[in-house]
Amino acid sequence: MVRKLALAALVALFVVAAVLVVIIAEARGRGDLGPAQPIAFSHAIHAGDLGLECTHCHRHAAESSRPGIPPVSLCMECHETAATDRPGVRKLREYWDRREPIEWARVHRLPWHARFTHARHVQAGVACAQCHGEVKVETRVRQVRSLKMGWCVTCHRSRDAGTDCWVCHK
Amino acid sequence: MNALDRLVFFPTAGHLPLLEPLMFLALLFFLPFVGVLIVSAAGSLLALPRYPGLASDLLGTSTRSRASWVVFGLVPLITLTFLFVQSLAGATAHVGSYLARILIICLAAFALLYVYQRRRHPAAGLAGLALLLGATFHFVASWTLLSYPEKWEFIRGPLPFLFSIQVVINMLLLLALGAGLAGSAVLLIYFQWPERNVHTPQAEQPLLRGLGLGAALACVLAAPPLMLWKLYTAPVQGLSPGVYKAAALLLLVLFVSALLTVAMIRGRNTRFAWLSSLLALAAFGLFVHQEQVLHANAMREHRLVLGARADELRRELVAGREALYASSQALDPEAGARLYRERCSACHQFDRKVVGPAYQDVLPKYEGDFDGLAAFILAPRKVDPAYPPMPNQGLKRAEARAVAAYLWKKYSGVDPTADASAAGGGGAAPGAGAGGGHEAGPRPPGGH
Repeated sequence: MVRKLALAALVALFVVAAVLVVIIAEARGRGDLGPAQPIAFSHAIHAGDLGLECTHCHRHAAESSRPGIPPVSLCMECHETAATDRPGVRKLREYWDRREPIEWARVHRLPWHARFTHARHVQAGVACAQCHGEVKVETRVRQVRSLKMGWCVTCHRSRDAGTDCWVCHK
Repeated sequence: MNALDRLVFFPTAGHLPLLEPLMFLALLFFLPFVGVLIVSAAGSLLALPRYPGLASDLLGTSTRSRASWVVFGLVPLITLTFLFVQSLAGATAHVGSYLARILIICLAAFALLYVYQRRRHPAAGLAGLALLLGATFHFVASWTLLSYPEKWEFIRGPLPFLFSIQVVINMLLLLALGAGLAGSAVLLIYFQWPERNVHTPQAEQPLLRGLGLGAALACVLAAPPLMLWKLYTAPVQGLSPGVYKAAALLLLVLFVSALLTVAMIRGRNTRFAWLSSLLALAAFGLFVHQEQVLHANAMREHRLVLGARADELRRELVAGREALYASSQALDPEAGARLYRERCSACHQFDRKVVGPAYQDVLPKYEGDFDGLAAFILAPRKVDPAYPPMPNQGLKRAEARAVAAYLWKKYSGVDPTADASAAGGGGAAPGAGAGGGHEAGPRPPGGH
């Protein structure tokens, strides 16, 4: 009887472990290459090959809490004539003709109780790549930093920035 | 201090994928060996006071021959040191010098354990085990750090990362799997492998079997919760379906191992020792594979950066090489006349035959072919049977061109390099333009 119980417990241990693997996979996500975007925009071409500054498109990063997602009109300043034969640019043209904004999928998301302003960080000389990674080599942007409190605090400490609760939390 | 890190040449995008299988292979040699060595050394030290013969047998589980210390211990560790340094090239965190110290400590630990195995000196065994445990813990920290690129810029080495949860879990998993493999290996070597000719006293056999089965059971009970804990705390950037697949497969392997171990315990035999050993090795392989997948996912961005830097570096090197080639092609107006006096005038004059023919007789055929003249001076060959063969003067390409330019200018009054100077600017040599080859050099004027 004891032997049978021990064997049953052993089997139960592995069944529970297998179920937990599935639960953890569902809860934590299976990782991916970043969310799919309506247009396969390549940061590697724009920020890497062409060498555009981040603020060329994200124009409010240095003076606002939000970096600013470029409007279609900004893209069309160049793509009215540049690379018009590319599938992505043709798609962009369709948005422009329809007078419709592009609904880009959000890549980086902070919890609601964290107050983050791009302006403070850009003005303090924090490079965009510090938090967003080297997007100039990525064809599809994904979150490459955990953006968790421990990581933020480590960086704040290394730069002698404030670490009081109210600095980041509402 | 970080000399090894400074010596690193950035791996190219083509080189980086090669690091993965190499690292996997080296880890598959090193980690099982170290895991088994730690567990068997601990078991041996515990058994030493009452069963000295058994103590020696236990330590011999992984180190029966001297070659195993080198093949499974030192060589993979040296290889891994270079691979880790390559993988972390360009990062603030330096692991090169850190791993070099681990290598030295491992070497000392191996030496002490070797002495213990031969002489059964408990102090040597204890010191060796302590050093090996410490070195392995630091190694696991360096290995685990690869999955946390976001920490690299804030730490100089793996030391501040030492007691993070992932390092502790990986170390415990290594010990658990090491116990499983050591237990299975004991059962295999001492009970199911007569060719190994290992004789254990009859009285010690039940104890040895009990130890083997106990270690295997401890592994299959401890590893699943540790693996789940690892999955729960793994960095988000490292997760992918491959990580979960490896976890599921590891669970399956451990489950089959558990059933085999229970069957052997119930039957009081060791009949599944072979299969159990193979499964224990497979479990190690999956453990290493899972961590490698985590690394590969987490380091994707860093590897793209490394590839881009290597491309940039290669462009700089090519530009530097072309500049060097161009400078080597630059004609020194004085050099032509000087070389003519030193090397040519003894046999050649312009207006009369000496040993070789007069220049005024042979130069006309090079009209419009400055490169041909320079090529002949650089590597002469016999042309006219009436003259002895011209010896090679051992000139450099630029020197041969300088002599050719001097001869042609003196013969025709026209500087064949004038066009090149005008086109290339700054006194560039013929053929020192974008192409760099001497074929691209200008032809002497008036030859067409």
